[in-house]
Amino acid sequence: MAGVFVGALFMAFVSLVVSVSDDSHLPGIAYWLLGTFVGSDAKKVAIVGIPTLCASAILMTFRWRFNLLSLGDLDARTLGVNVGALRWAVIALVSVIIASQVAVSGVVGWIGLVVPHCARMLVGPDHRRLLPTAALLGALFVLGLDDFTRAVLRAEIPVGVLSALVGTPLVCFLLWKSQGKGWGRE
Amino acid sequence: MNNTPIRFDNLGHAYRPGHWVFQNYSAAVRRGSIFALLGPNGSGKTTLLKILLGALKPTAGTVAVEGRMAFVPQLFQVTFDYSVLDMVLMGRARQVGLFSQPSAQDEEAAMASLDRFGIAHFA
Repeated sequence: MAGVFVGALFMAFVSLVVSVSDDSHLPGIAYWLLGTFVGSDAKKVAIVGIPTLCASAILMTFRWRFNLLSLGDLDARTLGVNVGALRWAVIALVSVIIASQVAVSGVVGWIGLVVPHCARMLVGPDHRRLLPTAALLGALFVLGLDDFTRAVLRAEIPVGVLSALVGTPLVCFLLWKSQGKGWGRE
Repeated sequence: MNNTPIRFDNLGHAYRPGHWVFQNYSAAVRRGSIFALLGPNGSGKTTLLKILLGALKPTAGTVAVEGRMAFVPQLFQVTFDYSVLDMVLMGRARQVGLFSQPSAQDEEAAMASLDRFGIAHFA
């Protein structure tokens, strides 16, 4: 539910920006809202790349501790984990990555829901393997979708639209498949 | 060696200021004894256990624990189906640095624990 509330609040801010924007900026805003790689250049790659690489490098060092966090707060704390501090550090680092990515490519949804679950099916739940696998699969998935639209459909369909078109049924399928079994190695 | 490795001294806990779950609790657990903690719902048995495990800081008083604590919960459910070795390896959390991953030595220690209980084949 927290995601719904935060999403609604920030959508209101986006609507506010759209409502006060100059007409000439509206097409760009519309494309950004759809999620697109159109207009990518070295500067945008740097805006995404530097924060993503720095924050990811730190997150990767925490990856085994995600196993401990997944046990729940009480168990993690009794194992000596500073749950509050670690959780806030992870949220801050992930926010840096997401903010830098959304700033240049807009809203490309569903990747974070689909890819980690697929990666978990491939390599199991141990975050030491899961985190690098999910990062690699996520990058390949988004690039693959974008390349598909350009090479096969020969159209400039925003990648955010395609990720939602592919992601929604895929998440539904994964949810249905995992009912009663938990997310695990298949 | 101390004959009472677990000691509570004037222990008290309040989740909200002034609302004490329990207060002025003092006890000593003798080595090799079975210690039962009885009380009605809401009297602070679980809170005391959480303090003993270091998961909660007591509002008042002190707890002295000699050596290391182990805790076997009545109910244990994990979100993900970790392997037995992965689960046991988590017990090495205090030996593994914040930015580090478990070493081969940690895996050996976890395997040795499994071996000791005759369940290494589940690893």
